[in-house]
Amino acid sequence: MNDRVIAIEGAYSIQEVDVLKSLFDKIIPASADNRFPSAADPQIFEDFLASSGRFREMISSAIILLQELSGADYCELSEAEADHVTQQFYGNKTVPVTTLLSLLAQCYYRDDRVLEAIGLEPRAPYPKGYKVENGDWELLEPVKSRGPIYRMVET
Amino acid sequence: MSLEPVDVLIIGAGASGSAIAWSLVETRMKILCLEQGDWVNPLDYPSTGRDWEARSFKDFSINPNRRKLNADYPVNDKNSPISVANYNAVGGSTILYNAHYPRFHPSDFRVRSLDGVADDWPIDYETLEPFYDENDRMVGVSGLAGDTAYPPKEPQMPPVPLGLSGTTLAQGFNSMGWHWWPSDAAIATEDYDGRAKCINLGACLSGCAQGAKATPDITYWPHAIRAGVEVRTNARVREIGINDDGMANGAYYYDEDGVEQFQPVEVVVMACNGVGTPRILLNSVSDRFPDGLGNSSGLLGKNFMFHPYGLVRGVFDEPMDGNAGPGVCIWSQEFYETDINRGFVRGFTYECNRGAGPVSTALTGMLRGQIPVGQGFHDAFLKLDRRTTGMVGICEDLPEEHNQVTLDPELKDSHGIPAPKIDYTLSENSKKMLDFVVERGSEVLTAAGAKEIYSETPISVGGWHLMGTARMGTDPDRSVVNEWGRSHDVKNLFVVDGSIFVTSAGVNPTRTIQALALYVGDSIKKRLANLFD
Repeated sequence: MNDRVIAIEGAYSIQEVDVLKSLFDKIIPASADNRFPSAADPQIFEDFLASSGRFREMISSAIILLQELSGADYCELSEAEADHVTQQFYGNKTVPVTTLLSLLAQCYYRDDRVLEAIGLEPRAPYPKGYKVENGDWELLEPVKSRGPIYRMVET
Repeated sequence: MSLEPVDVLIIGAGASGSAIAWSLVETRMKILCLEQGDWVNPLDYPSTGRDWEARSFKDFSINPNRRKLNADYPVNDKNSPISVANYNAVGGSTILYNAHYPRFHPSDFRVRSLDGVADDWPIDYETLEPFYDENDRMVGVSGLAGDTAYPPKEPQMPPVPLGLSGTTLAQGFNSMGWHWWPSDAAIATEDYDGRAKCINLGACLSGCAQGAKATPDITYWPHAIRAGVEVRTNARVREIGINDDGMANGAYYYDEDGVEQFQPVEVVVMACNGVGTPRILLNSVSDRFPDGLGNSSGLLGKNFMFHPYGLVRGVFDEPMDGNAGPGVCIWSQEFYETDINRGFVRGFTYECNRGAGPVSTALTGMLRGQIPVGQGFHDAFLKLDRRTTGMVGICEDLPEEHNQVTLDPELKDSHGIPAPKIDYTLSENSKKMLDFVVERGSEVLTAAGAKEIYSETPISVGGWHLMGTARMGTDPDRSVVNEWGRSHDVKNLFVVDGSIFVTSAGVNPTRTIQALALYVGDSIKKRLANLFD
């Protein structure tokens, strides 16, 4: 077992880091036009390592499942084999897998480059807030014309 | 050593505890509220940070078993298809509510008479109406007068915006010829009572940093505290004590240092909602009340009701609001009242909820198979992002005694107090109603232009509403408290939260919980001279 520590919180081994990086790149690769970074991008991956400590046991379980599906080291699989195993893993709805995917999405979609690529300002909602159109209340006319629909009750 | 006695001890600083505390201040009684959580600083809410969505899965998760904060207690809900959602702090679970703020209807109090199911309430809409009005003024409700699904009521402020999502859905409802109306919302759309108006942060479900969302920490409590009420936080109540006369004489609790305290009191008011209240009362056993305090009927903890939720969402070609704006938008009560041709009794409300942020959009797409791994990931995400909207159907649950809250024989909280155990099954009536929610919801989304529709029934994490476990009634054999919230067995013990609901209606309960708390407070004030007779 490799006991080298990568992240202070969560303490992932080198092997686990390699597996996760490979997996993340398979799930969310960089876009062909490079607008979107890979989920294995160093900044995003460091964010994942630093923020996933609370769910360390779940991540371990997910890695074990991935390795079991691989029948070997996931990082050593051929491209086609890795694609197949990744599909199997991705479709697995167990809590460890969904937890890992949730953490991946949380880290990926708070990266400035990703948010800008999807057309959002990279900022917190508060204090600026957002603009929402008031809308046209004339749309209610058909509802009003029906009259009351609630059930009358004798008291 | 016991503490200085108080006249009224309120347990729980959430929606109901805050309302009755404010109601009782004019009596000039010494009032204390014990709250197991703490005050939440609005600037600590997730929407002030870049990781706002991530925190809704962690320290601001609706699930106490996931959140695991010091203020939380575990809940064994493994024997339920719906998990309990709550929050423990001053303000209670409203800290994480959507501020969807409907009233009950007149028919909701008469389900036995009208539909032959469950029981009628011992009070009616007319009795509660002045307290709805009083509560509305304290909370500040936005909406539009004239909703055809309700008797007349006047909101304090204009409605929340329709936005792109609301406009699209409204057109869908109009195409079907169905009712819809802007939702009543406990959200300030104008500056109100010292609170700033909504700026569409879109993160209502994890606390409102703007203070536009009405939560008791910024509505009732400031008024009550200025009038002399004390709120003691980080104080977890274990049990209620009784004296030789069978009257409640105080509460045993653990203070913020974990030291056991006994708070002597003349009147106890339980305000911990449908799981927390029966938990404490069931844990308050004595020779006189071996099955729990106030439980001579055997119904304490029974008749537990959630609102089973059905989710229906559509993906559109046109842009929607995404996470911008209050989650509250419009509602439809087209299917609220019973029509036996549908195959079930009672009904539901469609609550339309704009959209979601990128994390939730991605995760939902990943778990539903809408977003593939690999090179197709980004294009698939962009087809969902700010192009998804829809609704939930909040179904009326009917009381069944086998649905219950008991004390777990093994699981305990950090103070060694038994955790609540939930045993709950969906009724056949609820299952049929949920199917109907999806069928009709799919129709209206299609009419609105949705290109793809997906659904979930019930929403497994959606146990927001906890009701019925200390039901009110005039018959001591069939209810736990009387028609004004006093225990049939213990004449200085009151319950004011969702526990006392006889039925659940098909709407969110908080407005009715708070109106009931004001009604019970008023009942107490009117009977002060002979309160214990």
